[in-house]
Amino acid sequence: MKRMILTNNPYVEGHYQEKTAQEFEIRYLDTSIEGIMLKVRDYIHKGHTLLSHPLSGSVKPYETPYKSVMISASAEASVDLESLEIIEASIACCRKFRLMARQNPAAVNQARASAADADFQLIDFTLIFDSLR
Amino acid sequence: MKLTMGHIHIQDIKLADCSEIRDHVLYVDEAAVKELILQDEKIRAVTLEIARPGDSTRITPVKDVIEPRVKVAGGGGIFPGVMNDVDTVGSGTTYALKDMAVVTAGKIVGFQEGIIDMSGPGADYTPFSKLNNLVLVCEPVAGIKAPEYEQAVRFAGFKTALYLGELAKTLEPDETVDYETYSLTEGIKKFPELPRVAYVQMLQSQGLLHDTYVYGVDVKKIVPTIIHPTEIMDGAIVSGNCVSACDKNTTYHHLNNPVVHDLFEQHGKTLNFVGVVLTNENVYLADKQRSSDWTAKLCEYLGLDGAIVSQEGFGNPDTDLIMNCKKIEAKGIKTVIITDEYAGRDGKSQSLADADVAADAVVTGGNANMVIQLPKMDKVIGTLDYTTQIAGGNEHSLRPDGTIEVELQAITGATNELGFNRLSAR
Repeated sequence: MKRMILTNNPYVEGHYQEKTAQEFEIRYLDTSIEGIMLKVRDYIHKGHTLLSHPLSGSVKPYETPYKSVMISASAEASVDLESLEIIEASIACCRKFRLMARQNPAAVNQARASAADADFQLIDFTLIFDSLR
Repeated sequence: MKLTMGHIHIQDIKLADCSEIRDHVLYVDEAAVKELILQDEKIRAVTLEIARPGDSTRITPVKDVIEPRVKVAGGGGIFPGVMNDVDTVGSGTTYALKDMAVVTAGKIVGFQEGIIDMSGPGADYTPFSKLNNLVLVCEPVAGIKAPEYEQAVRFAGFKTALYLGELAKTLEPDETVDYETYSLTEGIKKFPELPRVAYVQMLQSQGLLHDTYVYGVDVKKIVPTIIHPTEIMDGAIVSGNCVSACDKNTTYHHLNNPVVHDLFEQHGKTLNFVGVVLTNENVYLADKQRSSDWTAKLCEYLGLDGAIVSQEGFGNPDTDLIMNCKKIEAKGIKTVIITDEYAGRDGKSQSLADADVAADAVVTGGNANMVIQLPKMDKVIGTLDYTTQIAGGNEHSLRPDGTIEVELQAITGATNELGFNRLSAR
C-alpha cells in the first residue's frame, strides 16, 4: 500500500523524495504544524486513513515548528472515524500550545530562526522514519 | 524469583586520588573516571562536578540520572545486554548506593531540556535535588551526529555508575530488603484469596532521543512482554530518552520504580503482585493497536483482577494509554492509569489528547504547563545557553538577573508518570 507523508519539514522532503518515491508520496507544504494537521484532516474527510499519530514525539507543538504525518495514499468511500477522532484531538492540543506560545508572540517563529532548527528537523525526520527501518 | 537489595547510604561525595566508600562518603578518583569515559572516542572532554542538596546550583541540560548498583550474588550483571552480558538478572543479591546519583549533562540537541535545581522553589519539584549528585558534563568531538553523541553520553553514565557500584561489592549494607514474586501456580496456591494485580509499564519508543531499551533491545521493536519486577531493579530497562524532562523516565526512575516498590509493599497483604507487562509507545497507529491488543491479551492470560498502567511522555502516548485502559477494562480487569497533564497555564484546558469512559480511575503527576520562577543560582553545571529553547521556555525565559521563568515541563522529573514525585495535592 502506497503511503503519503504530509510535511512542512524541508529535511524530510529533501532526503526522501527520490529514494522512496515507490513507497511514499511526500507532499511538502510551507505551513505551520497546525496547517499540516488541518490538511491531514481534509484528507481524512476525503476517505484517507491516518497511519502515524499527529502528536508524534515529546517535543511540544510550537516548541518545534515541524511536523510530518503519514496517511494512506488512496481514499476509501467512507470516513475512518478513528482517524477523525485522533486528528481532531491533535488539532485541539496543538491550538492549546499555540495559544500559550502567543502569550509571547515571538516564540511562535523563534524556533525556525534558532540554532536548534536543524535539530528540530532531524527529530521530526527520525520520528516518521525510524519505525519503518 | 527473589532478589535481596542491600542499601549503602552515601552522605557525601568527594573528588580524590583514589576511589572508595568510607564512613558513608564516596571518594571518586577523578582521573580514573575521566579515563574511563574518554575511552569513548566520541567524547572529547568531560568534567566532573558535585552538586549537593541545598547548594545554590543548577544542573542543565540533564540527560540521564543513574543510581550506582552492583550484583553481589546471582546471575548476570547490572544493565544486562547493554553494559553486561545478556544473562537474566533479578535474583540473588544487589547493592545500591542510596541518596546519590550519577547525572549526565550535555547538549545533545539544541532544545534539550532538563533542569535540576539543588535549592530554591525548583528543588521542590525534582526528586534529584535531594541526592548527592556526581555530574558528568560530556563534550563531543567535532562533527559528531546527535544519535552518536546521545549514545556516548548514555554509556558514559552507565560506565561511571558501574564503576562506582563496584566499590560497594565488599561492603556491609546498611539495610536489606527482600523482593519475591512467584510463578503463576505458586502465587495462586499461596494467596488464593488475594486479588491478582499486575503493573503495565508503557515505555517511550518513538525514535531518536525518545528510546528505551530492555536487555539492550530497542523497545520500539518489541511486542508486549512479561518481566519480573526484580529484573527491573537490576537495570533490565535503561533510558535513552532525552525529551520532555518532566515526564520522561530516567534510568534512576526505572531502577527505583515506585509502582513496583508500592506493589511489593502490598504483595501478600492486600494483593498478589503477579508481575510486570512491558509495552511500547510507537508513532504508528498499527503499532499502537498491536501493542494494546497484545497487552490486554497478556493481562487476561495472567488471570488478573486489576492492572495499574503507567505512561511516559507527552501527546501520542495518551492514545496508547487510553487504548490500553479501554482494552484491559473490556477484559473485565479493573484498571488504574497514571499520567500527567498539559492543562494550559491556567489549568483549564483538556489535560490529555485522548479520553474514554473506561478511564475512570486516574492518578495524575500534575500540570506540566504550570509556570514557575527559578531564581538565579550561584553555580551552573552545564549551560544556560539553551534555556530559551526548552519546553515551556521562550525568549523571555532567561532574565538579566539570572532568574528563569519556565513551565514545570523543563524540570527533570517534575510531573513523573510513575508517581516518583515529592509533592502532592492530598
